[in-house]
Amino acid sequence: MPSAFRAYGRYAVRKLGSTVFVLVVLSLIVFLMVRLVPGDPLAGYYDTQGIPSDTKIAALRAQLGLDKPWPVQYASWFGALLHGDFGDSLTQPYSVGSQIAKRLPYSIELSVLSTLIALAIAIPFGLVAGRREGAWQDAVIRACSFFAIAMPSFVIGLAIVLTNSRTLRLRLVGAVSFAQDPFDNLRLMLAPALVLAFPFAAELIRYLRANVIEDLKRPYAVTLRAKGLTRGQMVSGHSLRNSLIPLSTVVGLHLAALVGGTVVIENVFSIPGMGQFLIQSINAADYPSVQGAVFVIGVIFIAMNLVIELLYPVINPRIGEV
Amino acid sequence: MKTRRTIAAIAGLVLTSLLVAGCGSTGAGDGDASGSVGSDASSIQKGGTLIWGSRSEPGNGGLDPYVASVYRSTAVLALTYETLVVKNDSGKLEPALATKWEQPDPTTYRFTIRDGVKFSDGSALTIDDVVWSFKHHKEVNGAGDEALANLKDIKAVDDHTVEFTFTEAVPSFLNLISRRTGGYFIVKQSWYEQADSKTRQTQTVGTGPFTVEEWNHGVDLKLAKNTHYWEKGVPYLDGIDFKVTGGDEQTLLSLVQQGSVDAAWFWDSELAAQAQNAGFTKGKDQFTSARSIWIDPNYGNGALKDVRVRRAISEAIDREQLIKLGANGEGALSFATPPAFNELAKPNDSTPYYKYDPDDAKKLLKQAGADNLTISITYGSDASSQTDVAILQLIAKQLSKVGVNLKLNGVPYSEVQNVFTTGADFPSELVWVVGTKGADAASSYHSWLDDSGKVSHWQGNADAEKAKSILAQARKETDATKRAKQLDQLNTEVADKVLILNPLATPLNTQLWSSKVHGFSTDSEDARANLKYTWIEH
Repeated sequence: MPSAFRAYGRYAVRKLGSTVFVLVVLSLIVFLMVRLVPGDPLAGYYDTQGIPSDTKIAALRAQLGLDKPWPVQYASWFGALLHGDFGDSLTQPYSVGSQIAKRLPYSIELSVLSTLIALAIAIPFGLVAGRREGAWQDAVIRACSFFAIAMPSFVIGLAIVLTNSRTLRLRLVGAVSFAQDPFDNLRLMLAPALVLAFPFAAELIRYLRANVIEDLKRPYAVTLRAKGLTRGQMVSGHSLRNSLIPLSTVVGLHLAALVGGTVVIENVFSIPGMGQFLIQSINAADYPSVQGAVFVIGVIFIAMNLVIELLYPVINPRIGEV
Repeated sequence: MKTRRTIAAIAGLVLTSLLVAGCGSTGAGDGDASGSVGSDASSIQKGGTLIWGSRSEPGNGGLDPYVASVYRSTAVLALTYETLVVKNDSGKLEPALATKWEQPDPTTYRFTIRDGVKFSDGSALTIDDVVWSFKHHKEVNGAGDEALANLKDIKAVDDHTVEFTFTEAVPSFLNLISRRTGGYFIVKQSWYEQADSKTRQTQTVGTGPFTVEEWNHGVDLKLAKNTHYWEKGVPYLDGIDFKVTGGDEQTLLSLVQQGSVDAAWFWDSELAAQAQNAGFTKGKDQFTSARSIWIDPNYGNGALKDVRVRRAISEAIDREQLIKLGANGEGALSFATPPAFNELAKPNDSTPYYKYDPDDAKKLLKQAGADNLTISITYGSDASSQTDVAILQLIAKQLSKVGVNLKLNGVPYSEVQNVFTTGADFPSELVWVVGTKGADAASSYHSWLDDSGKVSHWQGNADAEKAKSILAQARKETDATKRAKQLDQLNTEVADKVLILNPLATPLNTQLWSSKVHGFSTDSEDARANLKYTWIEH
């Protein structure tokens, strides 16, 4: 046992070390990337209606630290980041950290909700399709899955919003924070979560179906069938459990990707989440906001990866020994 | 059997989710479109919060009256801070914080400040606040302060009178400081000096009818009624909640259609028309935005140096078609000064080279030896400029009919901005500029026509000499009537020599409101000044 622990400890330290390295590289890439995109954060102070004087613009540039060389700006930003300070927005009167703290819950909620809905749809349909391989149920489920994967979620979202606008006129667009009104929050989040859930569920159905079909062909399954277990009992009692391990990896990574990947849906349904924040910040060439948002999304992705990688040896002890 | 039950259960779950998502709908504002201007005093309902949908929130500089300069900021500042005087829709000066003003000599202005004015925090407005507000404005903007660059002194004559002395006459002074969104606001000195940068940008202490209550970035900006407002009985509303949709006007339309907002403004006229179909009343179009094409006659081989070529291009543009098809009917003929300058004459059939005449255009091009001309125009191709792209494509089509090949060079708008903000070289012969009505009509010409202007490309060009001379006179003319005549003359001269192309003007935005909103109307600055007289059925 102690040697297994030591092996796991070495594995965990190795993974943590590489994660820290990836985060440092990520911070540098993010910092340089936003500066390569054409655009001046001060351009947003200009307007054909009111053009600020050169004196005012020069003073603003100095005040925002944009007159310093980029390595100095990077060192200053990264130093503050190590203390949990994302800096202040260049274009709006807020600290980037406070904006992320306000917007991240919307994106996480949307991601979690859509993942739960996707699982609620995918598990039964995936199992049915796997169990009834080649039957009409399988054909229908596969056809629906293909359709859901092929149809971009924002198209479904727009179709729902536009149809609703011309018919039922239900309140589908807008957002209320969970703390303000939990019921209203969930009601407004449900439609975008469903829109995001459909293509994800379709992917999971296909994944689960393939796993179940493969599992049912394994020798142990043949033995159990010979002992009298029905296909249904096999699927619910064994194949589902066997499929959940690889499924959790897919779900975990997809969940992390969703946090920053819901830009269009957030726009369609007017949800002030991370995606919307990122797009607004890019449009305004607001360097600290873009850096902060991309960094946090990257951290979530990397953290999810780390958790999954740290779980592998627990699931399969041979991995930790490699 | 079990599978069928599973499918039915999931279908039920999805359906229930959709129903839950939809329950509690508020329905659309499908009233009788009677959101009228002007209200019978006895029918006015005081109180309530108006929800105004907008695709954006205040921009760079937030709500700091000395830093913010973009329209989405100043349009909110105009509701929370006030200027000494304002202009009505006819272009006539009216009292605001000053009840009287006089000009004892060409370089002196004296204002009598209204008695009993209080800031939104309940403190009294003092003459020192007025003096400091202007001094600080000049300090922040330096020599670039158009109204105050030649200011020699500003002082309090007594507790109610402030006097400005200039080193030379500044005929545009009153125009510039009277603009509601122009930034010459009266600010409480002690508050501004004590507040940190973030506070100045997120809170307001002004004398306007409203004050900022809360700003949730990316969600909404809430204004509350200024209970100390000097004009008795107004505002009627308890507050205004500006709902931010985050840049997508289609989403804003959805909010209108699902009845989640009482009023909204759209930049896209097509979506505004759909909002109107949903029962919203459209405000009177104020043609505050001139779509202009700036010309660099020296670019490339200098084909546009020849006035005949420029005249041919102007005649080859079918402006009526642009208004009808390119701008969905929401447009008007325009000089470089948009039609919202009500004190100036508007273009008409006798305006030189404005009438569509492709035959004459071809003749002029032939005379100039430019019957196979290729030129380029640079424009902002960002998603928010889709209306302009449609207009430009139409112009290119029109010009092709007379043998002019107009190449459309779409770039990020920030690159176009460089031309008029930093004076960068033109990236092509022509540059498409979406202008907005400025505070002073003569100022609309300064940057691109006057030799000292940042964007001027007409130095040493004989065609521009007469126009420059008229502009110089107008900039010095202190008599408003004479000045207006000079500017009319300037507009005609510029059209004759085609020193700039003005295909059309459009409203800066289209403002609409539901049938339960009363007393609101648009104003010639698109500053939503009438929100203080607006009330809502509740």
